[in-house]
Amino acid sequence: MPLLTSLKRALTLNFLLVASIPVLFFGLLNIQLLSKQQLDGVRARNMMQARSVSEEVESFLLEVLSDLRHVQQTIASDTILRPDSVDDFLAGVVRNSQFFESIYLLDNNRQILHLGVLPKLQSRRDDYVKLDFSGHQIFQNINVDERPVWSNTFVSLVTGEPSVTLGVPMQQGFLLGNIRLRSLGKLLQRYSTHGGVEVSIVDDSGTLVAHNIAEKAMQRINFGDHPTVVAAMKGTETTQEFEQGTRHYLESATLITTPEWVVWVGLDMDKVMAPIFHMRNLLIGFMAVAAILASFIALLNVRRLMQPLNALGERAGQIANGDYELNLPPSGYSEIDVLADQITNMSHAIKIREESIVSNEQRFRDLVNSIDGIVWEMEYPSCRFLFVSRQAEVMLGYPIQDWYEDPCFWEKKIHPEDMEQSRAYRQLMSEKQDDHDFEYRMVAADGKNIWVRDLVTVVVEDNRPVRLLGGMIDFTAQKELINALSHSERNYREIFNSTSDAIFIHDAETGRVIDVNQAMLNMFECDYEKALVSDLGAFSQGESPYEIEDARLKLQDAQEKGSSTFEWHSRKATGELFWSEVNLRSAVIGNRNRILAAVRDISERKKAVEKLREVNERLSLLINRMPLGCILWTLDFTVNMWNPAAEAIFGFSENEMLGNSPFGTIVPEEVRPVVEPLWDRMKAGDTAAHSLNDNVTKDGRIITCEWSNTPMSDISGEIIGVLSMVQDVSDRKAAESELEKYRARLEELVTERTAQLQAAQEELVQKGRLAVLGQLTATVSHEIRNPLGTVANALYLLKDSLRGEEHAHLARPLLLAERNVERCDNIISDLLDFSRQRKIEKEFFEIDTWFAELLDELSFPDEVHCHWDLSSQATVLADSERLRRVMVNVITNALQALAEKPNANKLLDIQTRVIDDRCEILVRDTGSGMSEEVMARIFEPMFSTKNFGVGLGVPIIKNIMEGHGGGVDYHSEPGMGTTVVMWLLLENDSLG
Amino acid sequence: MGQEITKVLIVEDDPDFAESLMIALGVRNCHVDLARTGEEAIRKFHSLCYDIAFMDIKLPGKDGVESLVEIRDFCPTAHIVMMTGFSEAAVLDKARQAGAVDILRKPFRLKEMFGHIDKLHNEPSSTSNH
Repeated sequence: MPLLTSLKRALTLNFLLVASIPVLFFGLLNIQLLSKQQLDGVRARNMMQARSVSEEVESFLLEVLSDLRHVQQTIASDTILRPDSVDDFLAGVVRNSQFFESIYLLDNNRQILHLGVLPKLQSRRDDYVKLDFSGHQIFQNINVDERPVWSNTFVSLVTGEPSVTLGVPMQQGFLLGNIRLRSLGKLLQRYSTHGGVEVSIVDDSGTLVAHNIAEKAMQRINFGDHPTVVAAMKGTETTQEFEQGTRHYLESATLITTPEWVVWVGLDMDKVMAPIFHMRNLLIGFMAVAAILASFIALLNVRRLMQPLNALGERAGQIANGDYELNLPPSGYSEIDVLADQITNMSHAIKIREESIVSNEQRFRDLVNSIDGIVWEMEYPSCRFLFVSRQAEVMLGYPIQDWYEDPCFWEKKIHPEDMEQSRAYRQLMSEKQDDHDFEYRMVAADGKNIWVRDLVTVVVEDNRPVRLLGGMIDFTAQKELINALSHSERNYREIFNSTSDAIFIHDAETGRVIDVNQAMLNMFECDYEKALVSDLGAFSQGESPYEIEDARLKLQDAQEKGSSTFEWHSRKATGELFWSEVNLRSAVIGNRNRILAAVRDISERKKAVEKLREVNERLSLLINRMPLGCILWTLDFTVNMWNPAAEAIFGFSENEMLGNSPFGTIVPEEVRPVVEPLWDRMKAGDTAAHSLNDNVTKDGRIITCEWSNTPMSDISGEIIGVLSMVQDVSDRKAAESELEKYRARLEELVTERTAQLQAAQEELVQKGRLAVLGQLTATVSHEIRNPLGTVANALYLLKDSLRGEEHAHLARPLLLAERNVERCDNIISDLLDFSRQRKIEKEFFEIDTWFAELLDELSFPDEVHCHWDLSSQATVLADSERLRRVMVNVITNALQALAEKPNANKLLDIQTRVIDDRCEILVRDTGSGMSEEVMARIFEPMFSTKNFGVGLGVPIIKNIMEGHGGGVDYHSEPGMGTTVVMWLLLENDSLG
Repeated sequence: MGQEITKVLIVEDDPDFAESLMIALGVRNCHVDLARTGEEAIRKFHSLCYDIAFMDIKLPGKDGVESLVEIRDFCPTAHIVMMTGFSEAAVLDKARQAGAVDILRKPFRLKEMFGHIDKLHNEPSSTSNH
């Protein structure tokens, strides 16, 4: 149905069809009106026709009457006719007349005298002669006057035609004319039957006399049942419709006055109204068809439309339910297909937007729920919650459901004390349509009071508050903090005023006094207002270094360092001076840099300190002069005090001993097990922990000391140290114990001791010798080195000026001179090195790196094969300068030993290594080596096998190594070489 | 190096040694003055601005280090090299702290002395004006 593929076309068609129905209906109405008008016209015309026919019939009858009157007059004149020719006359009249069938002249006896008939009836003429008409119906109506009389109509036996008899009285008889009404019928025949018109003439008895339809004229139809005919007979002309059998007439009837006949005109309505009826029927038909077609198309459209519309509806429902993935089949309507496509597009768009909305909503929800506060929406004025964020459950502990379900939830959960006020405030502000925030307490599910800050936005519609939006923030912590702060502010003020120190608060930049406490007012005898307007000078003594400028510098200093403490000569408002101790501290108070000055009156303390100093002086005099060693130990067993008597006993000065432990200084290792338990007893407060034990002096002497120890406690009774009185009882004790212990082997002991003493004495002698040598060397070196320098300079100048071939023979002597200057200098150096106890200045360094650098500086003869293995990776604590001296001496000796051994494999092997807690340096040569005799004397000063040198090289090596707490070992075989092993003790933290 | 005459002060009480230095420096195109005591050295420094001085530590009267301190006091840029036959380490440390450029240990090689003079010309900024 291509016409209906467009909904527009289908609906237009439907509309046109429906619209045609009223048009048709009005047409029908019009036709109905038209037919009525036409009917009226037809009625009038019908009546007119009846009247016209009536006039014609009347004139016809008058013509007949006039003919008959003429006959009468002719007969009556006598002059014209002879009596025997009357018959012929009559016959002639009948023959020439159109209407007469016959004319009879009756005598007074109503018998025929004369007659004239139609020629065809001449033969039967005699039948009528003497025929008595006295009983004729006509005579019943004869009047005495001479007015013609019409008989009833009848069917002539002669002609078989309707006829009527007209009688005209005469003086001697009566003239009767039988009139053939066929001519009347011929008259009526002028009114065509076309158009269904029937014209009839009915006699006074209602019987049909003439009819325009010939066949009907012959039938003696009675019209007595036609109401118009009946009315006409009574003298009333009418027109009306009349049903006769199947036929439907519009009939009119009118009366003909003489002889009271009725003209009837009938119109066949069916025929007359047929076009109108046709038209009407056609219109009705069209209407019906249009209605049916419109209904059909409408139904069809409805059916065809409903399917896609339902589908669209379903689709819309699915979209509403969130199902966006559907395809619609083609509906048959392009517009709906377009609509469906657009809905599909729309659903995609909705889907995208919904996804976006869902994600936005989720984001919004997450956001709202992530806010550390309750976001809510409330209906106003019912105060029923519309939305509450999840945080509500976290903050107050009630299930979210409760918030929604209980319309009075909010009011119920406000702390009873805050409830009235909060509710009233909310109502007031909401009615004023003002956004507001306020604070109140809510009671959480666990009964705790939560301080809530509620920020509310009022939503207004139609100038009325309808909803409230808000956020509740838990600020219990802040509230508590504020309370605590105000509490602490009060505390601070109390402390500030209750302290006994005077406190100033200064502005850090200007030094101005911002605030002071009560103690300050008391201490400086000043009132508060004056204190705040006074400058720093007002509170200072006023002379340098206690002037206002000094005070400012102190403030600046405190600002830079953070704090400082010093003594200050202060002045009261009364002018009285006093000593104070001032503690300055920079602080930030209320975002401003301030200096807090705490001033303490120390006048009393100063006096006390002075007194204490005097006591101390007396005491120290006592301690310093007492003959007993007096030592004060701290709890960690280090020296806190060491009097001159102790120094005299042990040889260590106070400075050497302060902070040192007795172990390693005055208590030898072997005595440690005796001393340690004693120390523990002393620390525990044992006042009887005295002892008699061996000690060692600074110069290594073992002495016997008697110790009297007293623990010292502070005011609280806690031990804070131990005071020891010590006396050197070596002489007495040694003698006693030696006597006691070694009496049995006295001889042996004496011998041994003697040997020891001798050795010691030898060493002492040597040391003494060396000391003298040292002194001598130091003095002499000055004196010798100048001449040496002069000689060296002279040699240099000589050498410089004696260049050239002619002086070549002088080169050797000059070299020798130079070398010997150097030798002299070396001898002096060696002597100085050996004889003077140089202080060893130790520092940490990596021995391998150091040694490598040293070896780089030295030069080695080409014939010597050198091999270094410096892989100890040790860090040693040593005096690198002294160690350098050692190494140079050792290597020089090795190279000399190698030089003394001609034509041999000359190898110099140097190695560093770590063995246990020692770092060892090995120098091995394959030189000449040393005999046992030589080996025994190498450490002896001034022993030398060389032509050069004073024999101090090896003793210097030994001195320096031992001075480091290390040592040196020589291993040698004549002809094989010498190995020198030098070692240093590794400090604990120097390994690796 | 020979273009410019270097003004050198020798402070030495040993006349032979002093003379040997003067001879050597004279050869090097230097103007050499001699002071035999610390006081004399100070006086000479007051009257003339020496490019460099070589001063013995051990001197009669004010010793070398004291003189050094005094000279450096009024002439902080004075370029003074100390000489010594033998001195305690403490004395040497004091000399270094007082601003001694170097310490030559007698008997030193003249090359060392010349080295200091050569260095003056290589770094002329330090002593010329004060």
